[in-house]
Amino acid sequence: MSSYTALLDANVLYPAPVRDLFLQLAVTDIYKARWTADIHREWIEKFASE
Amino acid sequence: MATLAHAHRQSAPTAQDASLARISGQRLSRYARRKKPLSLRVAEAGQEQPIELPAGAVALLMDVLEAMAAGRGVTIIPENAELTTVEAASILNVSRPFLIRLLDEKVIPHRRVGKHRRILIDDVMTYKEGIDAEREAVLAQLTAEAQENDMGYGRR
Repeated sequence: MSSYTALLDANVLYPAPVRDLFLQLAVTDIYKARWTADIHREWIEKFASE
Repeated sequence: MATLAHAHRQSAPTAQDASLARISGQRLSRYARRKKPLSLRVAEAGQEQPIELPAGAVALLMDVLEAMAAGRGVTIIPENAELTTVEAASILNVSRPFLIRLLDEKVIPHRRVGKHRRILIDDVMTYKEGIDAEREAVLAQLTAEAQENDMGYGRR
């Protein structure tokens, strides 16, 4: 029943440890996590380029 | 049938109450872990009155104290309480249209009162436990894969 919404940008979604922490907090209902299709594409491109 | 009007609400505690809750919660936690009825003694005007609490009430009291210690308000809702679509959507952290789709697809049972839909809190919580378990499993898998694929774990 959290009232906060946070937009997770690509640098939060990758590298993975920060993402895993933030998603765990979201699943615990501390806040609502949101990201866009563009952000999703951006972190995958970053990962693929390494 | 009970409605949310029967819910007992306690808004966010004062700092003083929060610190009281922290201390009493710490003391109570030792006994709450035993999951047995608890006998409290209340001293008043030189007289001691015993109060017996069922194990379930002790567990709930622990939850209440923990929430208050963290500065959060608490609402206790009876299991047979019925929610509106707005209330159910807010508990599930989803939009109202998404919730209505779940109702129409009979993923969550509901009944109609005239033009309005009513949902049992029990059904909402059952659904929530299900998706929470699913999300935990997906996250565990995601983390495991990230570790296997060297996506930031174990490197400096």
